[in-house]
Amino acid sequence: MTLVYEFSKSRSIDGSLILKPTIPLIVNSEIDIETQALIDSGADISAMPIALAERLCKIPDGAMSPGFGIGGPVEAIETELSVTIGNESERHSIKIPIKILSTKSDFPFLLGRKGFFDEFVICFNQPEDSISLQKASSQT
Amino acid sequence: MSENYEYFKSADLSGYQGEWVVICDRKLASHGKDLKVAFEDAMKKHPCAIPFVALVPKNDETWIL
Repeated sequence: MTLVYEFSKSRSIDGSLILKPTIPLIVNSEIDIETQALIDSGADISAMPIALAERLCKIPDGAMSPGFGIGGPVEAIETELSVTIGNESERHSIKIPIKILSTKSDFPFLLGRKGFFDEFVICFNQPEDSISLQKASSQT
Repeated sequence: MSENYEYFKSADLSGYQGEWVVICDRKLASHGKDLKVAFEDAMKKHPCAIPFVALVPKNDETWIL
């Protein structure tokens, strides 16, 4: 089976349409919280800002370590999250490693490759406004 | 797709650009720049089984990641 989502749509200041490859996911922690995740095929690993992590999960003890993003160096700490992706008829729970970034900038949950692209075959079909996810082990 | 996510994608949230929104039972339960404050406010006013939280993008913002 395949999970299919539409791109998120917004307008830039000049009125042009911006499409973003986003999907909903549920973070399973002390309580389940759903959020919107941007699929970021260029990111080695998933990431979220510390403000979002404080709501979604327990932040591990330990020192932040240096990381690097498009905005330059950033302090980060890595943890593992259990997330559920799917709908009423098809659900998949997976564990993904994620970097919690110590930044004051807000950005959405970014789904990077490690742990996520290993589990799903992902097709971005922007002309037809669809993002499809097929569980890797279910391919024929 | 959950009802809360469906609401998030279809509702006009342009008045909350750059803010975090918390959606419960297809309703905007709270919003604000500070997610911690918005989330706690939402849980007081409108607790639900699986709340939805997300950042509303700004129209003049291009994400280069």
